[in-house]
Amino acid sequence: MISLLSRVYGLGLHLLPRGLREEFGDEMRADFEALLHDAPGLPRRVARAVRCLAALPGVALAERLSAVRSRAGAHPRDEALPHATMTTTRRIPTMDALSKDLRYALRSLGRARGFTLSAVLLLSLGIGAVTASFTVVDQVLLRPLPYPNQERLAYMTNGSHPGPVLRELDGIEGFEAVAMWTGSWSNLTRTDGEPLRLLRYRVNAPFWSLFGARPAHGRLLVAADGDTPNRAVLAHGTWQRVFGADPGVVGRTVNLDGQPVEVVGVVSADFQSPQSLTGGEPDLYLPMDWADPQLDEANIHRHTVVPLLARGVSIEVADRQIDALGDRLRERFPEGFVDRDGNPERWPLVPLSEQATAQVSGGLWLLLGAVGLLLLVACVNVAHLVLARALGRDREMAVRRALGASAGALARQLLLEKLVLGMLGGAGGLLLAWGALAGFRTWTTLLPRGASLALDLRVAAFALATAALTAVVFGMIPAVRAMRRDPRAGLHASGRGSTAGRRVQALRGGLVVVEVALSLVMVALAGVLTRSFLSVTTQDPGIVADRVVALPLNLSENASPAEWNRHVEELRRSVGELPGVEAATYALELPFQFTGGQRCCWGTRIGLPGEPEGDAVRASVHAVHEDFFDVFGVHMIAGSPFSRMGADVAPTRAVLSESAAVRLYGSAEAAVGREFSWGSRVSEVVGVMADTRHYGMDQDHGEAVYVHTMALPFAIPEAALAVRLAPGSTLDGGALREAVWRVDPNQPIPDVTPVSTWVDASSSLRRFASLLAATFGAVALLLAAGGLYGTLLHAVRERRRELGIRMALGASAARLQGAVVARGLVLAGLGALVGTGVAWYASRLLEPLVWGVTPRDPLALGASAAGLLATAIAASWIPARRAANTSPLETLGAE
Amino acid sequence: MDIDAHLPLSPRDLLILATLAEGPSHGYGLIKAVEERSESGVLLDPANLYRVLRRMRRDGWIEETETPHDADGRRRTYAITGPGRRLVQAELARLARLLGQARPALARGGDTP
Repeated sequence: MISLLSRVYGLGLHLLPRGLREEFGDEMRADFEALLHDAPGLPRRVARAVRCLAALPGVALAERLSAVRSRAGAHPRDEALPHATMTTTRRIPTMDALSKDLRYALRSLGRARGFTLSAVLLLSLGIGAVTASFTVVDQVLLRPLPYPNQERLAYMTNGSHPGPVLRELDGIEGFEAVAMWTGSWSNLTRTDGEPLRLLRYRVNAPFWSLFGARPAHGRLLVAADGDTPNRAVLAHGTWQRVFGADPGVVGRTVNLDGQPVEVVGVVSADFQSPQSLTGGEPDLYLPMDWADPQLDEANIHRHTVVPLLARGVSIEVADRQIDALGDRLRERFPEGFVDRDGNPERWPLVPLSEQATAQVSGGLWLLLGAVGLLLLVACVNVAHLVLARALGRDREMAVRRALGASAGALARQLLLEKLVLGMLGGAGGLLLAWGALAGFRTWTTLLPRGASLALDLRVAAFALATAALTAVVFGMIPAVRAMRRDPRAGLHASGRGSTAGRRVQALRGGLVVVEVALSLVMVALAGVLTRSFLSVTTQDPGIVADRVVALPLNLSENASPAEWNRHVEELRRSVGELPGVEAATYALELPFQFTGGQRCCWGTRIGLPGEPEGDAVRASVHAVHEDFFDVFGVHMIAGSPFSRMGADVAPTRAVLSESAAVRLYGSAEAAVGREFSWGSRVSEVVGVMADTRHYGMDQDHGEAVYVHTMALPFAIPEAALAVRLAPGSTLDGGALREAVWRVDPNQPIPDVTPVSTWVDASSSLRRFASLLAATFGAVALLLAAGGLYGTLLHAVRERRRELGIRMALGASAARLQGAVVARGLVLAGLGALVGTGVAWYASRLLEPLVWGVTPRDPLALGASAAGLLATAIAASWIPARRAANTSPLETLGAE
Repeated sequence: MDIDAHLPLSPRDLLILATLAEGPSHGYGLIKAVEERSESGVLLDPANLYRVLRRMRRDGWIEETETPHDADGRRRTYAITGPGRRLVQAELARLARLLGQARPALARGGDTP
């Protein structure tokens, strides 16, 4: 603690003139440490440190002042400590003097209410925004994952992986251990309550130690449990929610998907599952079932793989070992492990921490950048305000100097005033940040670890320091001016355009240019993101989602595809008879059910029969009920959908997506009636449908094959009903419950989700980003306009006399007005020029975030610049009117 | 040297010189002494202290002396000079005169502190 503070003090000493610091710096530091050391208790220590630190700027200023004065040949004696009394008696400033200064500062801020309010609001805005967004970035992106050896945990990309890969992973030398899991929904049936839908993960034995899990009760799963896959470990939340936190549940047998499963343990409450980073939070865990025949299929991709790299093994080395494994597997499974273009499939590793935040990291860094710009703009505006106020106080300063106040005293006074301002702004900023974080927490589904976001005070302190420093630096200008000047000058001149005034005008002009440039960058950014968002949402999803609701089901009790089909068909009929239902259908998975890059569930390679394997096209297979095309309003380009009759007789009839038909046969029309092969099967094309954006509005549609669910080669524990409702009607909860349970009493009542919310959700992150950027852009624009307005107004006020004279000499009002607007436009134009350049250069950072437009969208850039200039003209208008309304008699008479 | 031109001394300067008049001390000793003597427990911070010490040394009121034994190599010891001692005496005499003038006035007002 002391050494840290001492280091800070050492840094602070750099404020002092070099001579003093070099001769006495070491002693000062030694004494500072001794002072802290002798202070009893932490609060006193900190209080002492703060007082010593706070004294530094005053000493620095006084030293420099006395240097200036002795050069000027004034009295060689130094100023003593700066203090606020106006008498010549010098004394150590006591709390009394300090509180007097404070009272004075508050009074003077209170007098300039408009100034104080604007400055505090600006500071709050900047501090609040930076604090909130850096907190998010820090806690979501920068904090290490809560696992032992988290820096060596990797994620095997390219989605989920099939059994043959999983079985070989233990042989990879670069891996110390490998965790793998697959999730699916299960039905928990109970004698004392409704059936529940639980997310169940099958995990392998190393999973537990890799992620540092500990049991709260009972034990975790071990390798030997793999022989008896019907054992379960409960997540802590499930144990509390479903089993009433009863420790006696360990050893009990529950009914899961019609199977008895023994509960062997409960995971401790502090365990954060890795699934919550990349998928859904598990309700319970079962051991991997290595005897599952699906694990022998090369085309069933279900498992997430997270290896722990051996010490000293880099990701590149491990990648090469995985590539070698891929080559071996391709020899064994000639039709698997190649991508849609026939190239060998690769599964490069990425650090798990990166994967967990991959979806949001680009956006979050962008957010931080935008907010940083906002803080800058806010600081520039505060500088404006403070500077404008400072110039108005030359006279006050001169009077007080003449009355005997030392320059040091005035400096301290001004410093205190700005510090009070900073404190108020800081308080407002914290409030704002706290509110913003509460808002972020509601987006938890979008942000990994979002639920645990908490205000970071270190960040708040940083933002506060930045803003307060701005206020102080620019606030000290009047003190410097007062010091340099003969007090009499300030009393005589009533703020006419002196040279110093002109210099300050130039400084303010420069600030406006910076501000305009920064806000242009932000507006352009918002423009590009909004264009990208619009281009996503204006895509044709390929389906008509209005009035269609989805009901995901669990079908884990079916042994064969025939049973599966019978089961879903019965549910479909029962639900289809409900009042208000126009049509009902089902599918293995529905459009927009799995978005954001996660692809479920079935992929294959299609080709013309008899042609070489290398020409095959990778396609996703969608198993659907025959009414699927009707319920989702899919547009058939050629042919017609298949019917249920003979759907399970070879050759299977199939509907191709347009892109798949064009790829295989050259056109949609040419495809109908032709055959294609996929894996060991051959199918006949009965129809071609328009492409749909099955996996999200911002995903390429890719080639797709639709077959009847009767053609499923095995039973899959999932399905989803889709129901089209009559206009204005809804599904009644009670009736739905009855309709489902009449067929299947073990079926949990499904969540009813309008498919349109899935469609919207697939672009919600983009909407969020463009909304955020637009808000920031608008605020920045407003601030820039305010800065320009203030500067011009001030210039007009300063030049009142000149304008009056020009008017008296016959200049027209329109001409004066034009001159002011022209000055505004020159400043804005310069800023726009710089800003466009910066935006042009910075736009490549947007590359990964935009879709459907180029990041250097000329329309967005041009529109931003035009909007900015229009705002500039508007902001110049009032000052220009004021100039035009100058009355020559009044202004000249006023002096 | 015209000592009167340097009067009055600030309370802090007086306290520092008076402390040194009792014997040489290093900077931290001065900080502690000032803290003890000023009843309100005022803290003299290091930056201000050394700034004043440098000025006093330049003006000839104090000087650096051989360090007798210093545990911490960073510290130097300061001692009061002849002119410094005379300055303290002059300031004390001035204050005594001032007190002498002020007391009767207070007594007449019937309000004793």
